[in-house]
Amino acid sequence: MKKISYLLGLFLSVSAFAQTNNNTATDTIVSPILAKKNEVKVDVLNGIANGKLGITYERFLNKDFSIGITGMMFNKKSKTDDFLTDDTRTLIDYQIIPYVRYAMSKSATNLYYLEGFVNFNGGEFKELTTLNNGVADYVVVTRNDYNDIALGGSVGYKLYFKESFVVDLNVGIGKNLFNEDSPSTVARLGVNLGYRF
Amino acid sequence: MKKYIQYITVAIITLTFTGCTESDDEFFASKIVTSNELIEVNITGNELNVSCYVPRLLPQDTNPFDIYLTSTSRKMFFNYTLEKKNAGGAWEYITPTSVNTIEGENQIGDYISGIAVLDALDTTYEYETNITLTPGQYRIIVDPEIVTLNAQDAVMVTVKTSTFGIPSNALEFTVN
Repeated sequence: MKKISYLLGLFLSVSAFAQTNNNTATDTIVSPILAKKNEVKVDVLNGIANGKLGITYERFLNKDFSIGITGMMFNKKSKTDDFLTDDTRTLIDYQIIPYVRYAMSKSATNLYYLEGFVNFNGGEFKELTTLNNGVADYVVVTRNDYNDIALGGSVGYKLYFKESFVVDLNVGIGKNLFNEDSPSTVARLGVNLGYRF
Repeated sequence: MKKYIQYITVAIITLTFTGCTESDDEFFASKIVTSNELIEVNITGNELNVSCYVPRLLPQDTNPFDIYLTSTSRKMFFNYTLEKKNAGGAWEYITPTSVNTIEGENQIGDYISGIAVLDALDTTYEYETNITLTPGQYRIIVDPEIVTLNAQDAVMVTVKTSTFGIPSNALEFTVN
């Protein structure tokens, strides 16, 4: 799995950068949306469902390729902290996700895209720890911090309204590479509302 | 280019669904220890005696293991079944009606859950029950695992054990 994720991420990234200056004849038809090179978005899905604040900035290099970065923070105050007693092993506190996207559709207002991303993520994990009180051993659940880097890919769909407002849906997955205590996979799932300028 | 995009799409979808099947991010706060011969079965006349006394500080190879401090549970349970041979010579489960609980508690259905309760001094989980039987051929099968009850906010402890004098954890006997 790790190798596949790594190769996929590398493949997408290399392909994307290799073609950023590869203009075609269709670039000469510039729609009002294509003239706007910047976009900011807020992830409403993760905000409502998971108490995560997700903000994205995307920069359009040409009509096919864009690069961006998503920052996502878990708002711990939004939920009761039952991490120690629930059945999840890890809790992701933050994610920083630089990405490259390739538009698969020719339409500027309504398009599918492919994305390759790197996900810098960190949070907490649980483990069982054996302690000794001088009389006997006993076992408790302890929480510890982790940091890791994931590579992954996603697919998405964008729909523009009034040439500036956007709904951006994406789904994908990344694989953490370096820390055995981190979650093995990180989901890339979002419903973003944003503005292009 | 189109073909290349299709390959990537298929790869991403495959990757997504492969990732969904992974369940390594679940955490079960569970500790398993081993201590043999903690359950005992005796037959005297028409009375079946089942007992289980588990020291809270369970002896282990190095240090004793504190079940209560780990689980914060005052109760542990194990299951056993009681069968009687019917007229056709087949074993069928019975639900005993004449049960005398000496220590701990019982939950009786198709199988019997013997619940050992930590004593007032917090030293031993205790269970002992006498079951009076009518004449016939019987079989008792003991599940040799004693598990803490209601340890949701701590660590569930499972003690893998055996039944004293019954290596296979199953015993056939006759009540006259």
